[in-house]
Amino acid sequence: MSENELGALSFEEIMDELEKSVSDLENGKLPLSKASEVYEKGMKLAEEASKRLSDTEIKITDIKKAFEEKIEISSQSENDLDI
Amino acid sequence: MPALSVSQVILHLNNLFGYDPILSDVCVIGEVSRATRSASGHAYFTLKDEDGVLDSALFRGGIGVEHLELGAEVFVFGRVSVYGPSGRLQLIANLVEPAGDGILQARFEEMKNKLESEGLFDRERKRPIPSFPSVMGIVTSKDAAAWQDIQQTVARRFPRVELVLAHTPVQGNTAATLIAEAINSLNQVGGIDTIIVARGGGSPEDLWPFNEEVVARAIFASATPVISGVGHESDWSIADLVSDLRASTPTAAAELAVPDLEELKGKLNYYTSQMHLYCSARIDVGRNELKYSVTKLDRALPDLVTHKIRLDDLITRANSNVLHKNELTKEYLRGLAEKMTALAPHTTIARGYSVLQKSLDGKIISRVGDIGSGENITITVSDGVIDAKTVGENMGLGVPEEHQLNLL
Repeated sequence: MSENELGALSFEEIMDELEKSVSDLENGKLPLSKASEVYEKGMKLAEEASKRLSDTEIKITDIKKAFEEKIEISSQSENDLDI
Repeated sequence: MPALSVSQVILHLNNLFGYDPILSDVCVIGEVSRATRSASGHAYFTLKDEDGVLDSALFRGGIGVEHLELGAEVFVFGRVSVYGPSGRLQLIANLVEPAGDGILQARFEEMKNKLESEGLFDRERKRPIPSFPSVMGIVTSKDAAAWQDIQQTVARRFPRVELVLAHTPVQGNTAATLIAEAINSLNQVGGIDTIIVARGGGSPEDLWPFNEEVVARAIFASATPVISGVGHESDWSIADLVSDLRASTPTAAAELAVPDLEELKGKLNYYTSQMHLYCSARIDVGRNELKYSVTKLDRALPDLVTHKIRLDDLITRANSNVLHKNELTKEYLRGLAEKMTALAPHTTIARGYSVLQKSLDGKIISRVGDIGSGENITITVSDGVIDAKTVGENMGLGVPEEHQLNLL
């Protein structure tokens, strides 16, 4: 699993994938080479998940600001269209 | 007819009221239209309905003074009497209860039935709440304790989330419409994973906006899953019924909306240790399989030791065989040699025999016909050769000894 692929996953997907890796290993029926592959992937997922969890900054905006941003973005794209 | 004093009239009236089964213990429903409190703790208020007003008093120690708010619909329990100093009829209350509860309850039931029949509360409609939201929309008042509670809960459990506050009043006449608008606008912002609609505890009137149809419809229409956290544990609102998930309080709503970071870290640790465990178990299994295979392979190999022993045995046997054969051969050769020795001419000669040869050509004379009369011969004896000459005639075998060839 490449960095890009990992980056594209949501936290929820990472946890789901990780859980699947664990249960695949738990099952114990994987050939050894496949098991080590799954293990490696699982460790990467766990690492990514814990990296994401270490980002602990609560951000608060209010709806007005959120809307302003949204309006800005949409007017920006209108300008783009004009060009 | 004797004249009565004013006080006597009032006393008489009060006696009549006191004996009257209705007026001596009455429950009056009306709207509070004026309310004051004296320094001594008594409350004076006016009850009214469309056609009349009734002065009322709730003396200190009476129950339900907090319900005496302007415009509130109340039940007042007490007795009716005339107050002498003012000459006015009044209701002396000992208990005030909000009457709105009954009315509101009826409206609640009506709304509930209506929306239920439309399928707004259907279990199948409830959407799952994302386990790991990145952005959450909060519909509440920025000044409300609910907003503080949500922020604190999120900060404590899962601070890696963005909260978008859609500020709205959460009580009063306009609240319902504004709450609905707030829900709609959060849906327009986009990228919001979960919406929490929240308000702290309050009177049924305070919480009423969350029972309004417009709020229910907005929650129902929301593309984003909605968690409701309105009031206290025991308060159920229409908003609770239509939302995807109902929490009993704003804090509980925040707890349901985000995972617990510590718990997640624990889960991650658990997962990694489980992976270590299973993987090393798998390796152990592999090792055992290998060991088993090697054993099987060993067993499958020919038994070299037995073969070696057999080979040794064969070599030994072969060797001893050869030796024996040699011995036999030697024995045989010895026998032959002895035989040859026994047959050798000189041995015979040594025993007293002699060999006769023609002198002329050395031919052995073994028969009578081999030699004629008067021929020279040599006689070989054990110690030398004698030259001689034959005389007389040759005789065949079977002739008397005297007729045999005479040797000189």
